[in-house]
Amino acid sequence: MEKERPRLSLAELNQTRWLLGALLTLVALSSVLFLDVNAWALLGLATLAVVVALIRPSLLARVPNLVHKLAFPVVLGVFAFDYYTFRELLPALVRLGILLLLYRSIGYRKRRDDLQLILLGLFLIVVAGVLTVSIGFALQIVVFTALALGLLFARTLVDAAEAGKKPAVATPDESIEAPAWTAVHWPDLLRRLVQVSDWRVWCFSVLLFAGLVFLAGVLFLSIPRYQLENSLFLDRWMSRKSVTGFSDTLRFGEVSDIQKDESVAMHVEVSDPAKLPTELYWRMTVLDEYRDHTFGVSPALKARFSREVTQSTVNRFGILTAPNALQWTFYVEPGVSRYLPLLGGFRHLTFTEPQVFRVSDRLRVMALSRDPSTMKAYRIIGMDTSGVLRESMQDPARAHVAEFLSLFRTLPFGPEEIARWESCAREITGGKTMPVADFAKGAIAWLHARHRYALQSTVPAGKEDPLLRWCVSQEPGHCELFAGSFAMLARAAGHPCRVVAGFLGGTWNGDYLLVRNSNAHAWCEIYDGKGNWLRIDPTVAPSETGGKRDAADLAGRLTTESGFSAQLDRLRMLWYRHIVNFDRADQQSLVRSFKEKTEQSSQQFREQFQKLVRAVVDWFRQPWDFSRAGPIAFGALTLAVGVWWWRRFGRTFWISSRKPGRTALHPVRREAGRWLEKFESARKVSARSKNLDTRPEVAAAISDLQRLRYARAETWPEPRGVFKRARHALKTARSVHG
Amino acid sequence: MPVAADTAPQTLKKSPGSSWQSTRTARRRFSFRTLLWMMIFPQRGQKTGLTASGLLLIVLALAIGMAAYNSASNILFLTLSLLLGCLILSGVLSWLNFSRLRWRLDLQPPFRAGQEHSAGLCVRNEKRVLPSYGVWFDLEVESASQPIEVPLRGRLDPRGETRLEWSFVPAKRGVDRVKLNAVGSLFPFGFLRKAFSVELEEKFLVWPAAVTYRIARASALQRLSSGESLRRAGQSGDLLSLRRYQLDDSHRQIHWKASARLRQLMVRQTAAEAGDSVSLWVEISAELWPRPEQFELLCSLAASLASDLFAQGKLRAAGVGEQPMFPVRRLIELERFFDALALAKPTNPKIFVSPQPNNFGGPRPMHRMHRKNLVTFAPDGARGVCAYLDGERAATA
Repeated sequence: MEKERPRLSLAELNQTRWLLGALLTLVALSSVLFLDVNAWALLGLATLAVVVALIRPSLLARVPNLVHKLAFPVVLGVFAFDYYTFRELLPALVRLGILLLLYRSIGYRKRRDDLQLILLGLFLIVVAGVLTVSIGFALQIVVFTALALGLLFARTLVDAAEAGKKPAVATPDESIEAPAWTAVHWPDLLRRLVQVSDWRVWCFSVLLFAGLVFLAGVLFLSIPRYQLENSLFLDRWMSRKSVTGFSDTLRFGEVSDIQKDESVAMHVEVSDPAKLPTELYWRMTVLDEYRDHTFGVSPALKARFSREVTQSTVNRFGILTAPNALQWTFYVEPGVSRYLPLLGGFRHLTFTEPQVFRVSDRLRVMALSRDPSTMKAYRIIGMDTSGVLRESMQDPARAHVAEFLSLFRTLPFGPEEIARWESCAREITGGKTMPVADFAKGAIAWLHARHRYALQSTVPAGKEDPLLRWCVSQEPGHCELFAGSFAMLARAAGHPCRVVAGFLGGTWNGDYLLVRNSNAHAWCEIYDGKGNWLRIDPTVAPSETGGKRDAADLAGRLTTESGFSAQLDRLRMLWYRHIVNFDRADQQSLVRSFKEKTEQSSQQFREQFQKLVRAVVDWFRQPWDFSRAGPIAFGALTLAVGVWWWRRFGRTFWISSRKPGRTALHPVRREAGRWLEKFESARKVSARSKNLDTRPEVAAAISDLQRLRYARAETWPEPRGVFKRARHALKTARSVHG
Repeated sequence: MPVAADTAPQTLKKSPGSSWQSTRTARRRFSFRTLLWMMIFPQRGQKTGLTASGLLLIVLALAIGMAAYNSASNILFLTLSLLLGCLILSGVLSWLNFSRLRWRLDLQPPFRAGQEHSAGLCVRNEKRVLPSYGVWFDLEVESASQPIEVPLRGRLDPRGETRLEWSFVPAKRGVDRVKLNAVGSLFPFGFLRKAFSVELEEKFLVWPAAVTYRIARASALQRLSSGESLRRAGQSGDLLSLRRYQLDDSHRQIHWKASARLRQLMVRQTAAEAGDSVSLWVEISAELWPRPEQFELLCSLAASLASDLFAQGKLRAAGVGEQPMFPVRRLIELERFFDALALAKPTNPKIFVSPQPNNFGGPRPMHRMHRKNLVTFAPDGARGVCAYLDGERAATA
């Protein structure tokens, strides 16, 4: 028998359970940090209470029992008031979860209460995970699972230790009597936990938990997926405001503010990076109206959007024929915008889950019904990256086109200001009618001659519109000012023009594109009079003295992402790719890949085996002489002698080499016990079990085995012979009795 | 009809305990089909019930599964996978907990009807590394009404052994059985209440219950009780004379010289034999004892009387029914008498019974007629039992 380890007392088991419960609560509460539910005060209060209860569990006994009785109705009342006041179900539910978790974690819990604690904690973590799709969820759920299993394990041990004992009953109006285990000294408990621990059991537990995580991974990959169109949207129950400026309006300086934010806006995977276009302008919003120093989407343009639909796929959006079969996978971070970043029209788009959205084919803009609070993933096949948007795709009637284009001709200024804009335009054109491309070049040159790029712009004082004042000045400016000025100059020259906001370019991080909020940009699209909208970027590249960002620059920056943040981002991308974005197609692909690899490895094994067989056959076919036969004969002889020796002496040697006392039972006795168990099993299996013992050789074998098992060693028959006879008897008995 | 005492299982109360058992069922030949069925279906005799937490886990898994399919959220699928994984882990740990766990019953006789006795259940963990926790054993004593649940409260270390104490009260004399019906556990997380039905049964003898009886005043028995106590009845005291050998005489008492001289076996007759000690014979004829409850009282009275007489050193020999009387000199012989009483049943006599009915308080077989100080028993009214010493009313119960 092994050296006996100390055991935890019932009080120590309860203290361990209390510790695990408190840790589990804290992990669950920490998940709310990822949610934007305005519960900071409540969260802080709950955390403080849990920590205090953890350190001094005896304090809870001072709370009158009446408080415990009233707590649940009060919590429900608070929830009703919360929902009635703010009209947001999910945030109210989360706050209710925090309150209930707090209520359960600061009371002396029974088994049922422990289960409630786990359930509430799981609710908070899952809601946070579903709404944020954060990689932090993976860590949280794993830690939470470990703690929950530990808590349930401790509870089972406590129940086993308390089996048959009656629980103490509290009187209804008095405080609950503090159980004896509440007098806890945590360092002592930790010391005791170390004392009772066995490193082998700990290693086994860790391995087992790793096995659980692996098993969960396998189950995750193998659970069949079906796309149900009638979907449940948890994020509908919670609103979130966009943290970027890409909304229906764009104030001067908003894009510049976004550019200061270095956080990740989106990740983009491209099936063939070699076919990446030279210029990456991620279009999000198209703005036609300029009013109150702000660009925005006019009501007339909004009316051009379709009604809200709920779909998981979109086909043939803004194009007639697919330009290529390149596949793009977008992972847009929560809070970027409800407008989806696109390069242009596309052949096919698939969301990971059905979405509610509106589209405008003409503008090539897709807008979700609300700002997403979770990461949104979608895959596009065959996207138009030319930078030229074809007008009147589905509306060839000229009258409608003219009406539509009129939205982008408006100069929302007074007569004097319009005159100033027209004057500027004449400076560019020289009073002549110029083709759009020439005008664009001229306008950009005109702007570049007066302004240089700067994130901090200065608009000269005056009564006129700020955009006009900046345009005619020599002050530096940011991209919105460049784009806005170009759009107004173009309109003054008679060319329909609009401002587009989105992202420009990105950087490579491993095998995907990383677009940060600092890549935010604004540019223009001008109508060429031939049914096309041409992309014009009038802004000077920030890092260069002149000219705009070109394809070579973009390609040159692809490998610039490095460092710890890049590694962390790759991990996040791994999470998005293989967990969050895992779907049925990936599942089928995985099965195909597995099948191919299995077949491939099987083929390789067969080939290697055949090669080996051929080599052996060839070797045998070679002429034989003593130098070849000698070693083989020697080896065979040695093997035969070894087998004979083992059969004759080996077992005895093995038995004699075992020191008595090292094990609880003598090896011969153990072996005899095994044989007796085999006979017992044979007796149970055999249909005619009663007849088994009547066979004389079986009875003799059992008798000898029992002597080896139980009798004094001096009276033993020769063990090897007994085992041999037992083997023979068992074999015969099995063959006879089936 | 054979006398029950003939079948007295001497090994019943002498056995140190049953052999070690485990949940392992009969070993079958390995095949993938067997393995598959073993993984899908529980073993024979294995009962698995859901606890509240298990039900909660399954309902939770169903709810999360439905939400996962309805929202196509991989986060929910991941949670579902973890929940299912926990269920599988629970099964694996439960299997490991039962694995190589052995147990056996350890009954320590004697047992008397109506008295509380403690018994043991030895549990051994033959695993090398892992301890076992939280196992309970469902025991049932045949004569007792309530099943007994014996829990393993603490940790049973690898290669460790423990003895779980439990107690019971045998309701009646005779052969009783302790059955270990099931071994179960909620380990490790309390999701499932898993129990294996096992076939471990041990028989044991229950001696008649002790009763209080009243010794008749001025009876021979009272006189005997107040006399000098002898440590070994029938062998002590002064030598009075020699007499012929009689059945049940000890061989040690044979006087070999006299036997050789007289060509017949002669034994020494001591003062003790001739004086205070008594023989006790229990007639179990069904005609004499038609009422079962009266028969039970007879056995109890006989056992109590024999116990007291033995304690006083006044019991020389004892016998039950048609079996020959045997000398009671040592405790083991008294226990043999109790064993016979425990198994005694009313029988139809095959031997000749004296036609003189109740001069001596009841019928007497011919071969015992010569005995002096013979205690016999007879019904006393409808319920009572009376002991007679050489026909004289000696004690009643």
